[in-house]
Amino acid sequence: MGVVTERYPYEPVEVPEGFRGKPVIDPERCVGCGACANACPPNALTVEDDLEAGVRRVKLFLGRCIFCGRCQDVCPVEAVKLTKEFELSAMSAEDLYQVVELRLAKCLVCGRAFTTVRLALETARRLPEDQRRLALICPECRERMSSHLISYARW
Amino acid sequence: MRSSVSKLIEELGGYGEVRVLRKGLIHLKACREDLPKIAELLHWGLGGYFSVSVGVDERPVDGLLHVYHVFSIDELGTYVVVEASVSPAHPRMPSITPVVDAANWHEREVTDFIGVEFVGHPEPGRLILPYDWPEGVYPLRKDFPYDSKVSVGEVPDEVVVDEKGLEGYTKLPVGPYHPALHEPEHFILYVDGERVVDARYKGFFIYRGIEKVAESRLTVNQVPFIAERICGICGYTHSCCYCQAVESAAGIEVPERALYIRSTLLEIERIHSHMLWLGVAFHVLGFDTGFMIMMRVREAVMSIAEMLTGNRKTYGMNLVGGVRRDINEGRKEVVLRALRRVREEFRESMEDILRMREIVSRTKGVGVLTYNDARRLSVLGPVARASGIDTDVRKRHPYAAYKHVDFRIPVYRDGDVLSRLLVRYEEVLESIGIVEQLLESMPRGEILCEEVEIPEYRKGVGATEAPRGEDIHFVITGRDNKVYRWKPRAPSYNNIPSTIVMLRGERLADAPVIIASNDPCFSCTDHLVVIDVRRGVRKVVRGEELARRW
Amino acid sequence: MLSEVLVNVAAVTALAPLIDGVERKVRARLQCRRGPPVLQTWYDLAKLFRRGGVRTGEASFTYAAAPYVVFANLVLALALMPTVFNASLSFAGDVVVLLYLITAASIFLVIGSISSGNPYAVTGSNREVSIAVASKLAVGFAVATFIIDKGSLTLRKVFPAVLPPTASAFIALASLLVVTYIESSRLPFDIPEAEPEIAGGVLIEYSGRELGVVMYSLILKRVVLTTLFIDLLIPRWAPYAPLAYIALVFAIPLAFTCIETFCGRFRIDQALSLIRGLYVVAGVGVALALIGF
Repeated sequence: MGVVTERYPYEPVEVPEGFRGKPVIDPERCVGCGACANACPPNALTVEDDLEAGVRRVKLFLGRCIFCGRCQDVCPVEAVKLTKEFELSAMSAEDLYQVVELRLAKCLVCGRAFTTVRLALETARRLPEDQRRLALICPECRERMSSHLISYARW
Repeated sequence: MRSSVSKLIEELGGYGEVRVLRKGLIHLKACREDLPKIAELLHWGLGGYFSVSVGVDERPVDGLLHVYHVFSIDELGTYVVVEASVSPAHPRMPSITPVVDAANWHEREVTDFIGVEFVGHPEPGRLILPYDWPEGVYPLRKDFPYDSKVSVGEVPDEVVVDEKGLEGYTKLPVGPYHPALHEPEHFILYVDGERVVDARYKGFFIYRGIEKVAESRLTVNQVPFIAERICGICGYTHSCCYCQAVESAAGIEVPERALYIRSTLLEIERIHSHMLWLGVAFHVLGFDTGFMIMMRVREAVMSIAEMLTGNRKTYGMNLVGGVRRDINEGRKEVVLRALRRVREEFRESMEDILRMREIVSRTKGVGVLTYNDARRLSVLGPVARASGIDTDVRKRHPYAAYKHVDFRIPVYRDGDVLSRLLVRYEEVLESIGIVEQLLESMPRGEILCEEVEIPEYRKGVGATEAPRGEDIHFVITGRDNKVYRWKPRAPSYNNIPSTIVMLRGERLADAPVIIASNDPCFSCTDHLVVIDVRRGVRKVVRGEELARRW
Repeated sequence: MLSEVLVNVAAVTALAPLIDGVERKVRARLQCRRGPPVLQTWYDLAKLFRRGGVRTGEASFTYAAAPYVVFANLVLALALMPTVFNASLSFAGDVVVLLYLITAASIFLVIGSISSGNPYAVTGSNREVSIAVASKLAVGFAVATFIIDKGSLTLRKVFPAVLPPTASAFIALASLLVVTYIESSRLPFDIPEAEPEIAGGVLIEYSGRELGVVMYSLILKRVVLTTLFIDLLIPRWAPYAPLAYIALVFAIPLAFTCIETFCGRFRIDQALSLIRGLYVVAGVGVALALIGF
């Protein structure tokens, strides 16, 4: 008949491929677009801009995470991935946070910090060459410029 | 009673405007005074059953409070949604509970959360809201923000119940904490020595307000994840049910392959849920070895789920329009191999166990629910099938990929705990067969409908056969990628009231197994928004006790 | 002599939790589990003894004293029988005293439990008393057989019952074995404690140190009954007696555990009707003893 129970935690336990464990953000890849925070059902991922310090912080709080993997689904640059790690107890709440800091970039027209340097670069990379500078103009300015062109320019 | 959909529409047409929302879903806009007559027609006259009531605050839309009573006409594979409305100034409409007992809790819940009063309800009073909740504050109204803090009143020392005629009997509380129960619920048993004379139930200790959260701050595609967490054992069925409701409302076609995957996982969930229940039932009967055996056999099923979805029980597989992960050939083979072994071990163990005298003698003839009581209370799932009602959403309102597979519905007539046990036993074997058929014949193709348009204010109903019975979700789509109203109703909501009927006249020692035989999912029930639960009677001794309700 | 009695009692008392530990390990293996370490029962008792108990407002003196009284009864019962060494407190009529002590242990536990006022304790006590009364009658028949056979009320003269071998003695021994199983709260008879049904019944209001003493008493009761059986079976003066005792005091409970693992729990009425069946068997034993067999 044998024995079916295992000696965990004195012996490690294997989990299969595709197991949804702890999400980890790769700080080299993250561009700070916030798609993950948008998709995250329990708001474990949040994005906030610290204008004084000039950085955007992408924060992952494991205490709220439900390990659904939607962040991994929607990330445009494959920065956040779910690992096989499941032993997540910590002695303090700070240990449950992962924070990625990204430098903010300012709008060429109005000077407001509206995006991150990396996101601007990534956006520019995906645009045709003659439109690349639009990546550094904030949505409000772009809207103003467009409506100006539409109303007043001579076609 | 042979009928047809067009005849049904004709009959209903006499009461108001009838619209066919889609195949299998009819909407009737009725005058509220006619509700009892319509309920009589649908539940008794046409042999359907009452499923759920939903209260919706539609004042931002048309200034009124609406109530929807949903009935299922099994024979025609059709749900009938009966809608009536009242003005907030005079929020009263006739109760249908005198006609259909099963609506008792449903109407009280609407009163608690929307503030509509049901005139003629035999047992009005707070159902879900705590005793110290302020009067006149209705949480599911649109002008009540989900993060409001209310100032509370006094909490009474004891649970308030109607105890007429029960003075002199020993009161034995079962719960909110009790070793036999795995979730908090409160049964008060009135005992005379070892006999249970009557019982009262107070639940909803873990109501979590999920409906409100979904309406207020979740997007349409975030809701499946909270739906999944309604229950610890039947989460995926809630997730599917919600998606089906939205897909029904918005007219979204889910790709075939996705439907097959959903069905496969739903059956896997059924298998592990029933096995867990069997283990718990054996434990409650004192047969711990049986519990260990069940857990051992069940472990393979949990591993299958983990391999396919990434988690043993919270599958996270659904989005509106399809599923997120595919099942490749390699995994399919692993699953089929594992299930063959599971079937063998399960069947062998169960056959041995069912030969044990202690198990049979303590479940045969115990906790009987008669066919009539079962119909009156609209019980669902294995409880209904054990009392002679031949009903199963997979056959009557086919959803996902069930119309493509062959399987039996086990029905027993005795209505005792043993019957419920046997129903679940057979269902496990049938489910294994279903998974095998699904995996062998899964069509190729997409698994997710990427372009999904969800128009505003459309109504939809999604229903699945959860392990505990019919799970039904009612959705009204909203704007800005949100839902306007979401009402999940787990099967245990309809089943738990029958526990009281089963308990009357039984021995005290049998009480836990009777309660458990309902397989109550208290998380399911408390939720209404969120849901989830666990734990089985003979006829009452005195005639007047039958006449009185639980 | 007295020192040997003390060693006897101390050794067996210390051994009892170890026997329980071995039982748990065996049961686990039969269920395909690894099981707790064999010293686990010792660890559990030690943990309980370290903690203070929580008392309900209505608890009384009897409630607090009962666990210790029960334990004392059982230790005294042990002293009346030879265990490892062939030494015991012996006097005329000690058969009756032994039966009294074993019965009193159950009764005092029930009294203590009822005085907590908890309705579950009352229900559990109901069941405990029903079973105790019923099985004592069967024990009475069995012991009567031995007394008639040997013509004495002194344990030393009654032990062992199988020499000279008589039909009545074997019948009585067999029914005593069954009663031993029943009285040691084993499935399908662990009805008074029935955790899923009545939340622990008799034990429900005890916690901490007092619970430790109660649990130790229940374990000890099993050993007392097993000891009685062993002493009736093997001659104490034989050179192999000490070893045989130690072997059997482990083997008999282990055999019981193997049976218990594959049982569900009886309902009280089912248990009682089975016990009444025993009367018939035991009664036959008495009858045979009376006519000289």
